[in-house]
Amino acid sequence: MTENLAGPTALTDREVQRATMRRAAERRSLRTSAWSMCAGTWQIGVWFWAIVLIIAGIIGYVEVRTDILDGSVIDGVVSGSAKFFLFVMGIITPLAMIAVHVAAGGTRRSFIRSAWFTAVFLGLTFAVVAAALGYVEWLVFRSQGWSPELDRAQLYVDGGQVGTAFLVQLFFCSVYWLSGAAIGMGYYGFGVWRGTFAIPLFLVPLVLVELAFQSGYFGRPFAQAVGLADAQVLTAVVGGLLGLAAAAFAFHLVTRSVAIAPVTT
Amino acid sequence: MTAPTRPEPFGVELQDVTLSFGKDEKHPALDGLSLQVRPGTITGLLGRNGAGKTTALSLIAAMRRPDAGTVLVDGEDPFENAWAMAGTQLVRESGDTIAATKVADSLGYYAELREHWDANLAAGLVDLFEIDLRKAPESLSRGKRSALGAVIGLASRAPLTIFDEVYLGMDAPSRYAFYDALVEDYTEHPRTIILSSHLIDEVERIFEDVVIVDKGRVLLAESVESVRARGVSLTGTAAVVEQFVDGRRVLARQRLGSTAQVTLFGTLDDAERAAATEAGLELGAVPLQDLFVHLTREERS
Amino acid sequence: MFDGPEPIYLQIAQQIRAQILSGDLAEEEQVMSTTQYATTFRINPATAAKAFAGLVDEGVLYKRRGVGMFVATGAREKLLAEHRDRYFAEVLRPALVQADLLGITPAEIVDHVLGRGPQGRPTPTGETS
Repeated sequence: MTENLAGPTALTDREVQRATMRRAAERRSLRTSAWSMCAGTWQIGVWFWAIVLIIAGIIGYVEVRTDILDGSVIDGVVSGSAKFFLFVMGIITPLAMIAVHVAAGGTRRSFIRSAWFTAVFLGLTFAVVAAALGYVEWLVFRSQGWSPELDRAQLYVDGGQVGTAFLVQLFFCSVYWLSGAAIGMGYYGFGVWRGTFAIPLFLVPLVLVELAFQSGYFGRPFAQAVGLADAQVLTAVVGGLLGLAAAAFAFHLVTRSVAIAPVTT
Repeated sequence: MTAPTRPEPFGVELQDVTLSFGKDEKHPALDGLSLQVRPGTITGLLGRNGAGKTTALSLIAAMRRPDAGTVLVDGEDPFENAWAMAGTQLVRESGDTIAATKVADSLGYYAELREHWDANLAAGLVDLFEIDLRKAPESLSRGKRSALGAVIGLASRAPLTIFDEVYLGMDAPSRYAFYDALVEDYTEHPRTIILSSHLIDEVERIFEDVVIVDKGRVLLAESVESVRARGVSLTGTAAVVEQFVDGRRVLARQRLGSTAQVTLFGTLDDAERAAATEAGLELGAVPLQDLFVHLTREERS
Repeated sequence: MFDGPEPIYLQIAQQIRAQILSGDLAEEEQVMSTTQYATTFRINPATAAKAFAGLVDEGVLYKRRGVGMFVATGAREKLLAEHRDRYFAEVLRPALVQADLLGITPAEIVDHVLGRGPQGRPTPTGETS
């Protein structure tokens, strides 16, 4: 390269070199942000799971002792709370990271992609744990001769259907985290008033995924009302993908040119 | 490609940049601001509170976009520009950190993202400023947080490094330790540095260029030598001083017994200098601070 | 340090010249590097570099590539010669003009300098007022 310090060739070299550096910088910032958000969430996530297990253990123990055990304890505690835990973490985490990310020279673009990655990663890992716990519980119940059926049956009727349980949790966790992230960044970028008004919009992905997977207290009656109660897994996955795409798009919209707030202290 | 090369310092140019924060603002934060920062210099950015310094710096660091006008960093629009952003380190007051987790986590984030991060320098400065890495930034004292900002700015070794009032809460020894570290690292690793400060007398000698901003516009941008040459101080017997000063623009007057010191705005030509010396007056430099106060006050009246 | 009215780089150059004249800096002795100068006095290295460049142009300092700046052989003599010239132009001439105005004759001045006058011999530092 030294023999071409002037002329059009040098310019091209410079541009090529700069383009390489740009890509390297984008990769570096995506990797750093994704790692930081995933690891940070799991650091607290370990505590979440520990607490969930303890609570499930206590409830199970009490129910067995008082003879009112009538279904899965894990399913109630897990599917009820994992997604809400991630929803809250989704609101907090990108809010805590965006300023340091941009200050360290990362683009919002790489931050958005890292948030997408984080959503899917957290969805996958939380779903693995949830499905595994459900399966273990199902094994225990069966060995005791108890009824392993779920009371608010979704796409699966018992913890033995590990694959379906995993799929359901994957979509719930990913979409809840990402919607939380969009709400958090909405507040950050739009301010309190407009941020609050935007919340219903950011909840659309949640409604979509709840409908598609017919979950719990809200989702199942909802789904029945719109005639989705007997839908198949495939329909649910399509709905889940739509919800995920909507959440990803919402996060992209609020973050892509967000102004980093001035220091207030 | 893998060998770490010394990055070329970035230049900065703002052309006719405008930005307001809302309709209720009486003046726009930036009102047609234009300035240039020469690559490889230490440039002082001075201005009164609310003059628009911090806003201008946040545009350079791609923290936000202007309403109108052009911002160029190393010849490119920095907003969402991976090249310009990766080469620009803005430290705002105490630096941007992850408030609730260990200081070490925030430093780790910069270390990962900053291509030219110097971990040894960072460790040395953390020791020097006695920053507890296990504490969260939000639980550090103001001075320690500012020191942490100084560490981030220096260890990043970014081709464009900006310190925006990175001294708040720091005691004098810490501030001087920061200035020393800055000058030392700058001489060994030349880059473009913009330093915004109200403690002008502490930093004026490390500037090469000075930009003075007032009410969202640039009031003056030139080398620090030329700014200093805009004023002169005369010391001597009060009567002689007053006689010499008659009809000139006086910035400040001090009297101690029969001795007076007067600060003048404007230059003296060689003949006037000779005359002043002949009359037994001692010529001295005018602190940049005095000129700054005069220039920004004049603009306001 | 460096509070005079001249630009700082001129004051730095002046300080180095003074050190050479006083013998604090010997010929062929290494001068502080730009970096050392900048960090010691907390000034912009470009300012220090400008001072050194000026002294190199004057032939007072010279640069050994990769080693640093050194005082040139004959620098002291050269500076002394310059200062002698300047002494007559800048110090003695105004004094003589003043003497003329006050009606002091050359003979009185010579007597004074040689210690034959009523005031006795002046102090070697030349302090007058």
